[in-house]
Amino acid sequence: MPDLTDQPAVTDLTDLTDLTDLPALPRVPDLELVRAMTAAAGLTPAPAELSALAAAYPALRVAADRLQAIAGDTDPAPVFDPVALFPLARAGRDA
Amino acid sequence: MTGLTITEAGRALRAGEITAAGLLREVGDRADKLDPRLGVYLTRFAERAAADAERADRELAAGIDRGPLHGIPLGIKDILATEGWATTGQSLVNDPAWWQGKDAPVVARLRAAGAVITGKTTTMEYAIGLPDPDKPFPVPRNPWDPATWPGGSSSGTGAGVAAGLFLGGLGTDTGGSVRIPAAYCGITGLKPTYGLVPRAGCLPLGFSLDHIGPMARSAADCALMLSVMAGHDARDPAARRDLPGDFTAGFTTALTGDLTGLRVGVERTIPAAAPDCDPAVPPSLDAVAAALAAAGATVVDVAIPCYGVLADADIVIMAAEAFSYHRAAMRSRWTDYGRHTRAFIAQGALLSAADYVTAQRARRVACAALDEVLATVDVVITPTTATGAPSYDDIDMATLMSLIFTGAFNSTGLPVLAAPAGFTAAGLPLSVQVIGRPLADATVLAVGDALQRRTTHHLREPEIAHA
Repeated sequence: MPDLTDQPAVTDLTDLTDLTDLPALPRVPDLELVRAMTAAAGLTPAPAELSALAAAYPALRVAADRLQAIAGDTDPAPVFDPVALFPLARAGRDA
Repeated sequence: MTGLTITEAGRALRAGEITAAGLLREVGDRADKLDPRLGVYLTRFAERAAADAERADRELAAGIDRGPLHGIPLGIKDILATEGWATTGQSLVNDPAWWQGKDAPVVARLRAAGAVITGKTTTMEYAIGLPDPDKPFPVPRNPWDPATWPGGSSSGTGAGVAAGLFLGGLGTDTGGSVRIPAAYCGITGLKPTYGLVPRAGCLPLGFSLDHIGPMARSAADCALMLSVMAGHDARDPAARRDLPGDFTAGFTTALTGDLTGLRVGVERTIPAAAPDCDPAVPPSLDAVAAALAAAGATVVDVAIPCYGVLADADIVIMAAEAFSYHRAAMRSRWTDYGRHTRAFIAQGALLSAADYVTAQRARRVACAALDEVLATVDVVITPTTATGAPSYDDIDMATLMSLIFTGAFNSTGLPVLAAPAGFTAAGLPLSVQVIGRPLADATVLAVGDALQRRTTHHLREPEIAHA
């Protein structure tokens, strides 16, 4: 299991660097990124909303990227269980 | 009969001191007077509730007793389906045909137990964000100070219990939506173990984070409600099938007031790291710890090593799962959503599939770390919020997120009780969370009950309730 002892109790948004072991990406302005991603998703925020989303985006990105360093090689939490997903088939088998 | 808990009202009903119809009239009169100022209700079920209350009285007179909720007025958050009302989710977007006008299983269970459903309560739209005054829905207000937010998203249920518009109600909790309004309104709320209460007939926010929970004045009242609400229903794929037959009885039998043998961990690092923590919060946590020690518990300090990871995972998973549910409607009806709702859910479009899966994987790692802490103590206590209710004049989501300590525990699925723990210098309620082991809902209720046998915070009422 990854060592969690150095993880801050609360996300510190004052330092957006060195939070993960991901290689650095080319810097693209957040507003351009957010505009492109919302457009790709088919959303139509007004310019002021786009700006607000872009302003909030660094914190969201830090939160998501920080988790990458924690996840290690752990399986996802949700468990895929075909037995639970096929109750009719199971009933047929058992009949 | 104002200010009664469910427990007290049940005793009075059976002693013939009050009637269900009379109790309903009293809370209805209060709603007539206060609801225009508090925005608790989206709709009231006056005729149906009156008929149900009269039936409850007839049944008691005939010796038919459906249990501790018999004749008790309850409010239901309007993201849970109820018969006779097209659930809105406080949104212009929701399909009126959703759930086909039937009761959600948890609502049906409350009705079958004799509860009188008084109406549907206000929420943040689809259980996320903040009120949008530009939309045609009431803005919920806090009975302790109507200039402040009652917390959300189960706002109406929290404010309604605090103001005495009903004795208990249902909320839902994906990042704190039961516990935050419970905290800001000075009442008690429980996020049960994930899967304990079936969520069929509940509009989803985050599928793997959503919980339905009881809200009432006391932990004992929450225990009575949970006894009725818990249990498997095949319409919720996450509903637990492995509960022993006598499992729900433990919710009330555990409430002895004696915590001898119980180990309580006090987590102080979380509020210490928050900006602008109210100076009344640390001593309120100390006072809770002292009360639990007086009840027989062994109290030790603990630190949760993975709190930030769990909190981040809650946000990432919630945004992704919410966007999955809302994406189609958001593409075609963007401006029909409230501005705060669309601002939060649209963040799901800014996350990748890998972000979501990674968050689920990190969640599992962090839960394992917390498991090691919970192997040494039965419960952990930590504040619910860093402050009292924020004013509507200066509220914003980013600031709020740094002042609430609830979302991390949605990532765990553990049972968490929020219970009143004192007041700020301005007279606004403070709250403590009691976090328990999985399926130890009875234990967190017992800890809350033991606290409330030694304190009176949960019995104080806002002045507006007596105006």
